[in-house]
Amino acid sequence: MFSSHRHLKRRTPAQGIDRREYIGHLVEEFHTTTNIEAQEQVTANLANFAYDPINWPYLLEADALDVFVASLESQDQHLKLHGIAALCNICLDKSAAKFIREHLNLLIGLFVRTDHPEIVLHSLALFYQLLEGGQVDRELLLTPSLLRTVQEWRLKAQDQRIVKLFAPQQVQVVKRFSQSDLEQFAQFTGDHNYIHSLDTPVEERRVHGALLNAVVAGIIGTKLPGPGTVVLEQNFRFLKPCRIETDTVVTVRLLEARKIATVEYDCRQNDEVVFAGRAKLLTRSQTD
Amino acid sequence: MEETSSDHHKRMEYCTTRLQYRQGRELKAVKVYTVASESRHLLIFGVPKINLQANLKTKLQGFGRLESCICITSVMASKMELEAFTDVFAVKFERLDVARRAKRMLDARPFYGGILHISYAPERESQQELREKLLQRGQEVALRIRCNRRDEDPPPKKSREAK
Repeated sequence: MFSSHRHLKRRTPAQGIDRREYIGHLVEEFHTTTNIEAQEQVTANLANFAYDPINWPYLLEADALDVFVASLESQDQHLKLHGIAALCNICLDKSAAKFIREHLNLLIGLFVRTDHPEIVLHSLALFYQLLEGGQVDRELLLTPSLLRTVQEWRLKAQDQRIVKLFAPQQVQVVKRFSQSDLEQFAQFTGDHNYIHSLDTPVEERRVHGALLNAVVAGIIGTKLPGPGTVVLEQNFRFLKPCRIETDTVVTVRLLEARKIATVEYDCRQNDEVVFAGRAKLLTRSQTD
Repeated sequence: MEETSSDHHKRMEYCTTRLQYRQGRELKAVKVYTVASESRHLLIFGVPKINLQANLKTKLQGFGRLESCICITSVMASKMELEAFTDVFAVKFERLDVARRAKRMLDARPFYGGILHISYAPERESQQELREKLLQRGQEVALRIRCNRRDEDPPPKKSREAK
């Protein structure tokens, strides 16, 4: 849940301590207490505070990040869980992300060695957000041991929450082509075929096939598999004319995730497939 | 791997040993939530087995648009121990914030003689929904940061001089 500054002011009792002080107390208690249950309680508290960005300045100021790392290094399973959840919550903050980068090996080590599904779950969500946000180099994070561990969990995990969190197998985008899109494309490519122009009545006019393919290529090159991908081979068929001013669902599905990957793709309008095909792609690897 | 796939739905014990300064008004379990834990999908346990599907639906719709509400007692009975004479419902809201609110307001509250236990069910999400959820987390965070900044430093009074 999220709070606003006004909300926090309202929640602070007249003689009471505000959010900044409260977080400071939690951090202090973590360091001074000898009671492991108390440590578990305060780290859970801090991890949940980390969910709301309003608390991030207070958490950073109070060095809560050190508490989270100390939790990860502890032997207690609950502390480890709270630590990883906290980082998962706060990783969208730039300075927290930098801190996380500095402790990447610790996180990878925890992920590789744990048999606790909840720790795996939050770790995956953390890694996913770091990669999506460009906060960490793929090569630094996706070490061979990590990828091996991911494969193992993918195969043996009973927990559906984890199974789903693995690399996205499918990307869908909805596009709507306008006549001006067609005109710009015709201008750029020289394809002034009248079947794409105003010379044809709109119900018979069709989107350039190459434009459909280009949209698919756009997804391949930016989302799945992503930047660095090179198309090696493609085959496709145009099953029905693709009309303008109609919602077009473009789907790219990863069939085989190897160095030479295979994807399948299609474009649908009104639940009918207008364009479909497959491609073999050269993906960017850790050593490139 | 010890944990079965529905362990995360079991109700945890309330924590009663918190120090005074950090004991809130309500008792809560020691539990952490991240974007991976939350979901538009909820499981609602403890609904008395007296044909309450319609009543439950109405109650839930009061929070916001409901996409589905189905009884999954027979499926869940084989996976975990259920309270006798109760049903389990799998519910899907259109929006995550609505699901959050419904969970917060209804969890551990009475309902036609039973006490409801509600938990998030992210395992029921499709790949697409999961990806959208992660995207939405980033958007919500960015929005909250903007709102918070605005509250902290209100925009300066506009100058009357032409620039």
